[in-house]
Amino acid sequence: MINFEEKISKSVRVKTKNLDTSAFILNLKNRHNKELKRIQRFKSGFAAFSFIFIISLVTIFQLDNYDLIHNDLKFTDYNDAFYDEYIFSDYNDINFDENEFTVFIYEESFHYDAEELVYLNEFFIKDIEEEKSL
Amino acid sequence: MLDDNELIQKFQNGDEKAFDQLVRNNLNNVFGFFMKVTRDEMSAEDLTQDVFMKLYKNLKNFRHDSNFSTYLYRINSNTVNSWITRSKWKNLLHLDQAPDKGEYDIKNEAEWTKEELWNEISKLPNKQRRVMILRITDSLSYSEISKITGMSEGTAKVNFHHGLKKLKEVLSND
Repeated sequence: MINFEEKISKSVRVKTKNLDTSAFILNLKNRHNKELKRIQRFKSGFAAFSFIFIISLVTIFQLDNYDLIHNDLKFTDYNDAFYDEYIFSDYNDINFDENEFTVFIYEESFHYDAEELVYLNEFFIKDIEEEKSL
Repeated sequence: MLDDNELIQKFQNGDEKAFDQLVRNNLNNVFGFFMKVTRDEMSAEDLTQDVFMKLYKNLKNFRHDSNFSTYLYRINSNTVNSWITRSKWKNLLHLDQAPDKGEYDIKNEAEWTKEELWNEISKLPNKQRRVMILRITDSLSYSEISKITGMSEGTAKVNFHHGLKKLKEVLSND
């Protein structure tokens, strides 16, 4: 077995030339500098990404009508509510409660353009008055 | 001329030139070690650079508990071990290129080629391989191997003999 070990040890021997030490050290320093730059680049990239991400989040949360953008409520929902509850029920009965309607407009104006509500209100009042006169 | 430990002290105190001197003192030993394993100058130089990069990064934490040579061998051993694991088939079998007919494989005085030998060493279990590499490349004693690998002398001996037995079986059959 010892003979075999010697055989193996002999067989792995190689003649090696000596490396140029100065060139090696220079390469080593270049490589080290490259690694440092790569780390710095990664850090600054990550910092930039984090900054943009945080700014984006803040911007999204500060957007006006945030609910309107992110909810799936459709225009027809508001329209139907307005028609069903106030036009065909209250107006037909001519028991229109102005306070209730003001509250409705106030509440709905968070999601719905108040001007449009007022316009619709006036439009239907005109319609009803015409019907009455007829 | 300062010895390695004094150079390390100086480097730890912020003298960068001390590291250059440390490289000069140990470069050819480390390169020779990798040359025996890889049989390729480019790979050996790359691995040598890896070792000195690791050394540069970690030398500030060196506590002088062990010899610097043991510490350096430990880095060499880990580096070569991960190189073998990484490129076990690709590099050792040279599947990606024609067999090397260079100066290191022509002297085929044994019954096996160096390629066959390293191919078989790469197939050994991790512990056996580590002991085998340290023993056959630089003829280290078991006590030195045990300090480098962290296993006891007895374990190192047993691993070496198991590895040697397997190599003998495989290479003699060829």
